[in-house]
Amino acid sequence: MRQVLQLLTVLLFTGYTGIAQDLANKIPENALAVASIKSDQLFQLFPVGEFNNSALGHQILDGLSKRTGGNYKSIADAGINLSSTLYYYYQKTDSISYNCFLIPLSDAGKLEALFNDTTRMKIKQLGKIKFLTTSGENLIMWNNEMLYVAHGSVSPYFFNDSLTASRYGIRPLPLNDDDYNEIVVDSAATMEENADTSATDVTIEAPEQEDTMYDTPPPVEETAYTRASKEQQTIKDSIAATWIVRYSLDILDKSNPSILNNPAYLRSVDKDALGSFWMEDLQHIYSGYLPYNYMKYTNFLNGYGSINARLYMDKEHMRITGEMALDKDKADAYRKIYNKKLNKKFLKYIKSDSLIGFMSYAFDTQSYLEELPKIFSQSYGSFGEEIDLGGDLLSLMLDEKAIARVVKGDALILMTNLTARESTYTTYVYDENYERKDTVQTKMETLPDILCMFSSDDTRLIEKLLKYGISKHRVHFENNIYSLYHSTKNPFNLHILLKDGIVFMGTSLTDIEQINAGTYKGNLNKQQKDLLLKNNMTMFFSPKNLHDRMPVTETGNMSETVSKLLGNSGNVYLKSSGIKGNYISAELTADVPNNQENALKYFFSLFNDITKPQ
Amino acid sequence: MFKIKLFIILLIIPVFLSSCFEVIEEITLGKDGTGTMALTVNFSQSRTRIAAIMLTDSIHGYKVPHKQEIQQEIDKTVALLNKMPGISNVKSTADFTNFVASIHFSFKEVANVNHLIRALLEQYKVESANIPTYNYNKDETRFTREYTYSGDVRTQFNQLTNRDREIFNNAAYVSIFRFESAITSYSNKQARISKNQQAIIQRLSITDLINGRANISNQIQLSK
Repeated sequence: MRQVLQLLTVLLFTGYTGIAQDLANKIPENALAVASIKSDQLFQLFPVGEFNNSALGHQILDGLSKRTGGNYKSIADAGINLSSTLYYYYQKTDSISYNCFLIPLSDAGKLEALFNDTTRMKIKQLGKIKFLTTSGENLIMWNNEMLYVAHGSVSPYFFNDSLTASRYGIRPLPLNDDDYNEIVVDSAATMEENADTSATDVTIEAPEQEDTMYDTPPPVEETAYTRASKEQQTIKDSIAATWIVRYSLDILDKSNPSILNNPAYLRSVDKDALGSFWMEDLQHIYSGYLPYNYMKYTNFLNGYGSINARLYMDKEHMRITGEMALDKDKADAYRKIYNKKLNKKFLKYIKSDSLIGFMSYAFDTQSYLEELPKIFSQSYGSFGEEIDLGGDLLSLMLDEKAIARVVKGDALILMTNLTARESTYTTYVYDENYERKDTVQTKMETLPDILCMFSSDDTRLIEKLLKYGISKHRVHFENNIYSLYHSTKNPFNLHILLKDGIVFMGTSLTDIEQINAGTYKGNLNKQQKDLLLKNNMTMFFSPKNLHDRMPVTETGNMSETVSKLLGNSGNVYLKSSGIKGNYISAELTADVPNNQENALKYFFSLFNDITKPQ
Repeated sequence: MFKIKLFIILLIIPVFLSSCFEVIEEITLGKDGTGTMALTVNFSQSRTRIAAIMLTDSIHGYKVPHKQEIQQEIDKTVALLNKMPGISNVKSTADFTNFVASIHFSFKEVANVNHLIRALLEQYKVESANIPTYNYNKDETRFTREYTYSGDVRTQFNQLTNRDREIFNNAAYVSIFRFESAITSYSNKQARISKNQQAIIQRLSITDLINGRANISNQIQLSK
């Protein structure tokens, strides 16, 4: 396993020359998940020469040199083609699941040189294909063009079926010692009899132990049960090893229908993306993990289709875009729910130049209440009628239109500032004879100022609630502003104002007073304006503004790492613009600060800052 | 609405609110060996943080208990203490505004306290070798607290994430012993004696206790 891990580390940073070869056509048509990284783009952002001289580069090259007895000066010496695309995929059958990596090679000889002499002795060859089993579940296989790393896990349910188990020479575990001392069937022979003889004729030895040193465990008395259990495991490992080799040979040797026939996968591919990810619909994957008996409970992800995502990195941004497919009913329902824009009146209360963060959303409350029961009834297929009935009852009780007048469904939450506030706490003083006396002391605490707003065409209910609070002495009312002071349930002071069809809630009395008086001055920039108005859901966070607005006393207490991290990070945005086609999409963007060359180097520097020992 | 609340809370807790708490142990011992003990845990300095945490279900992967659950645990401890031989007048207080909890009880002899600590550790399934043992020799009027540091607490502490360890950074431990007669000598020089010479106090940081940098053993000789 260690060898596999080392190899994979190298993979991320290797390959440079050679003809572009796309290995996607080797990924089986029915793979459940595929991920890829374009190494040429990766090394445009972080040139190989620079990587070799970086701390991580040195670490990897030194490790390789030490392990192989060679003298590696460049990551390109590992023989992997880095002007191509590396793939990972996941495939599952009822008996085994495979996690596999496909890596184009520029020089298979250089790759073989990575193995030490002992390991090299264990390499097996079938025609142009060479392979190495590092344990029962892991396999490394290569030819001149590609390296294939596979990890297979046998399904725990597969051998639960006694008929299947006996076919592979696996007997039920004994309940007492005598049961297992009966005639022992030659499991290897049984396997051979049952083996699929049409498959390539490969002999697989029992899996080897990994060359890792373990502490000697205390001696355990071997019972018939533990002995039988160990034997079973050996048989299972041996079966898995056989399957993995056959499966891998099939991938390398033959031309099978590939994932390129899957339109949903093709949608995930973008030539400009550094990396991409695609996953078959969740319902399909989720059901695959459950035994048949539980299948009836697995409908709750019904209607949600495949997921895809892409990663882009350039000089100014790091961007991740993602999509999830929906079936027609769900897409129609969400389209109605997302048919709402943020109240434009909110925008005049945003101060972009000093803002620490915000979050906004715009949903149509009426559609939400009307569509929700339908979404639920779709998800709970076996209880569809009951859910449908419940939905109708809910509709009968709720007046969706009336609710939508009170809470229209759009909201904006701003983190505007940080304020140092004096707070009291109880502690003790001791007199000269060490008798304890309770005392109240004060300290300064930095708290964020939050300003929330949501639209409401009918504020009567909210007013009634607040007036009830006044009558119970929980709410203080003055100059149109309702105030709730901090308590155990509410760590902040909260001031509420109902104005112009907007409910304002803020922790800063000054902000609310200015809004009430009409003197609050916002200064929204175009980027944030577009972000808010063109999307149904957004988030924004400025680590630098947070750092800049933090009192010196607070930054002094903060560790250097956190302080540096906040001070050197660019803005982060998240947005979702609702339904396009039958897909719901979201995008995360992180700005690269001016002092950084590009997104990849920026993230490397952040990573170095975080992991640097204090 | 719930998600918004959670978003705000999660943003606030780690960045803005520092944590700090103190644990106070007080023993008042009579000449005949009977006495009272009080244990107080005061989170008042961190009350904004705790109030914010208590609005969430979990933090850093730990479940946040509700007020009722905390009260139930305290009540359970009181019930257990009431059953202990030699222990009486068990009373507890819990202030959920300032986040201060305390437990008081009387004992017939300090050995009862030793049993009680073991029973409590057992109830909460805490395996620790760092348990102080109290002893009072009536004839020689000598009170001792024996404490042997073992590294297992430090090992467990080091297994916590940095973020979780920070909680203990400013935590303080105060121990006060009060007697009816004057203290003539004491072995722990980190402790301080009162003006009337009938009480002794020791303050230290909890991280020093965890890391074995502070010793709370003390042998106190009282006048006859």
